[in-house]
Amino acid sequence: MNVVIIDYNMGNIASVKKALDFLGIENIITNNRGLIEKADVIILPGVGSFKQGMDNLSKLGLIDILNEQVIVNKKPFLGICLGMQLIAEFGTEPIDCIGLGWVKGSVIKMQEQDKRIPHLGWNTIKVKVNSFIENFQEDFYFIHSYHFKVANLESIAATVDYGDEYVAAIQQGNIYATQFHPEKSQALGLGLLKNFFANVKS
Amino acid sequence: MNIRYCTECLFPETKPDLFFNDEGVCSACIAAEEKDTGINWDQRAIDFHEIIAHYKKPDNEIGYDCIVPVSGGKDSTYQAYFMKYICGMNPLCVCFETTSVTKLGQKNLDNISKMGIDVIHFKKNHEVYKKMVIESFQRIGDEMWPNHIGIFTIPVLIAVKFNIPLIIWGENSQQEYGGPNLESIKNRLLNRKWLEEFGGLLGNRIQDMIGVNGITEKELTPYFYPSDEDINRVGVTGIFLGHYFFWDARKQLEIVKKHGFCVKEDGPTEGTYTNYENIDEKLVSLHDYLKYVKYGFGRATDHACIDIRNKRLTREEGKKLVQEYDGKYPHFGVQSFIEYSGIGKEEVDIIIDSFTNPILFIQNADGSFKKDSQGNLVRTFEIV
Amino acid sequence: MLKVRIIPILTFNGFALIKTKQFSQPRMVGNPVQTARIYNSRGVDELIFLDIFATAQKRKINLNVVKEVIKECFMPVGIGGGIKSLDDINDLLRIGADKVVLKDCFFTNPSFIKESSRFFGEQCITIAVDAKKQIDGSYKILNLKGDDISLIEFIKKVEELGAGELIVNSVDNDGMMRGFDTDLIKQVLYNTSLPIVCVGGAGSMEHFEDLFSATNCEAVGAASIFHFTQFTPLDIKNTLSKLGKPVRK
Repeated sequence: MNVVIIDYNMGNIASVKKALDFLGIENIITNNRGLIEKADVIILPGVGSFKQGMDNLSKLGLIDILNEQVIVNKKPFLGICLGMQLIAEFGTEPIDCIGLGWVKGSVIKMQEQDKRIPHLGWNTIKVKVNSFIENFQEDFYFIHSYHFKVANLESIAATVDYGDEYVAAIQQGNIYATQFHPEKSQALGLGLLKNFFANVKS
Repeated sequence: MNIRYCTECLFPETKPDLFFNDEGVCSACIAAEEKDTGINWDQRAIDFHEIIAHYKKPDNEIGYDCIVPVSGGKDSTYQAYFMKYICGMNPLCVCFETTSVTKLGQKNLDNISKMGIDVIHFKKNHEVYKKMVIESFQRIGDEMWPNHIGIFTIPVLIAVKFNIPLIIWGENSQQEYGGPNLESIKNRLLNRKWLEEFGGLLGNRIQDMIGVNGITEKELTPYFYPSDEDINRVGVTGIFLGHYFFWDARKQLEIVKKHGFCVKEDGPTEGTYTNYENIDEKLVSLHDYLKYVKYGFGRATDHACIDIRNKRLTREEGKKLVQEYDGKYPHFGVQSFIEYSGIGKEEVDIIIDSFTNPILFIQNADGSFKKDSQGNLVRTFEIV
Repeated sequence: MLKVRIIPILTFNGFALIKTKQFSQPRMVGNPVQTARIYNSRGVDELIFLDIFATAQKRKINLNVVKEVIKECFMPVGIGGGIKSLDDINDLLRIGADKVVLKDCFFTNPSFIKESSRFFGEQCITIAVDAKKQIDGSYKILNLKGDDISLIEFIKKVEELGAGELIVNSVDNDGMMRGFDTDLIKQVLYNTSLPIVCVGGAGSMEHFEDLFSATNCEAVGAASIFHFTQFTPLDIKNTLSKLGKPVRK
């Protein structure tokens, strides 16, 4: 399997690579169109603000190719953290901005009276039956202040309770995404990634 | 890198737990100076005899008066000899089996009982111990780690089991090799706090070994320090002989040689220039080398510093020895480790390199470490 | 439910790990890689690695060393020391850091906090709050420049600038292993809505009991207790569990 990790200057790509290397999954960090075209699976990681993320994808000319590979060619896609948020239609961090628009909904600031924001730390996800992470109702590492308000409930794979109920993972056809960081969630996170690759392979 | 060295001995500032005074003198030299001039040894000897008198059983009562932890090395042989023949105690020696004993080490250990002293030789579960050797080599770059624990816990466990409260340890390593502060150097008691802070455990704890390759908590029984309750019930008291008597390893060596202790006759131990220390363990040169790759000094430095402080070498002479002996790739130790562990040489080297400090040693363009034809690293620093 | 985070803090002097007492008397405790491997094997919730002399010695943090440390970690890592530019932050994030820890730039270039928060997101920006108790019982922020600023003013300002988390360290209790400064922690918790990590003074399990009974803090950092005693993060988790606090298995 040929996995590309999209390099768009938005943070924690090395951790994702390290996790895949550990699992023995061949992968490459790149923003080269040719390599993205040849990929079997595309991973979009990322730490940073929504607007900066979209600006960087745009500057590198990656938006078209991602649309083509994920939406037209239906290649398995995994978004992590900011990589999950960017597939929304619309973001607000730090100012209003259009997203990739693959999953209906928008990314807005978390508002909680009695909770500290960012939502930072290990929290248990509530998993929907038959989702790609069905057996992973466990603690994963979250670090975010904005959340993806997904419009179509069918697209939600898992939620997390932090005062309100927030989207923790998405599954919509060939599009998969997690708000938490599996690559930073130790053995469980590695297990989840392994499960993801087994899932998309079959 | 420019490393600052002690102005009197050859300890570098990169040595953990060492501190320097305003004149640039290290804590080990300050302690040595104190040993020479600042301590009333006569009074200390009186204190010592008072303490042991309290533990000595009457002549008509059977039982042991104290425990002496021994390795079969020169220091512990001396401790056993001293307690039995100078102090007239009935000591029980306790030896925690080392990782891979040398013939000479075995002979010296056997010699202790030949000196007329009872010895308990604790033979550990080889499988569990080996798993810990491999794990600690990979995790913390010290394949002797389970040994560091066992040599402390086994004598204390036996003290509790046999109700022998007094344990006679040798030199306080903080005094010999320097400590983070004067309190640590002046410490006269070895207790759990001392073990965890100064026992060379590198922040790894015995509970961290549960689950390693299936190791269970129960299998680690010999490595857990007894509970406070047990310690208090028996009144276990561990004291450093070196706190009460001027510790001079070379003089003591001459004494134990007269009582059957043998040194290595075919040349110095790998990694240093002496032939009387660390002669019982085949893997010790790997242990010493790992210290060198992390901190830039090895066993030859330790020995030279002691000889300088005891005025047997000048600093200049010591420096020459260190330059010649320190930091040589330990071919014998590595080979012994490969045979012991079953890990291949290439992997052993990768693990050693992973602990090698890139600030101290020159790297190639690809990030690997530059090595000469003998496999030795190239220093970025000068020993000055 | 969000779990209490237990976070070992590694302080680095540019060469090896050190541990200070009251922010001075650095004592060298060992090699960073070996320590990171221990914590990874323990499955700690997070790791914080700080080069505490980088800013004062006018140098950047050694990326090779940080890379080696992060390589050992499948858990989140926060890195601090000598960070002055967006490039500095990006360099760290690219090799696998999740957060950066800033402090002295607040005194020399406060807009940098704002800028980095806008660029990388506030969740990426942690501020070190080194609080020194004054004779009158109030707290001020210890800083290289020597500016006079109260604890409350400092945390309000950094929150406004876009901080995402505060590491609150008691200068007076640092390395003393005699317990946390719960008054300090209470004041900070009351005055900010950001997550905070409570640091400074842990030496025994009773100290964690005291802190978590007296406050509702959700993350705790420690160093000396792991270097110098038999306690491991697991012991802390067991202690907190008994108090009814949520911890990760």
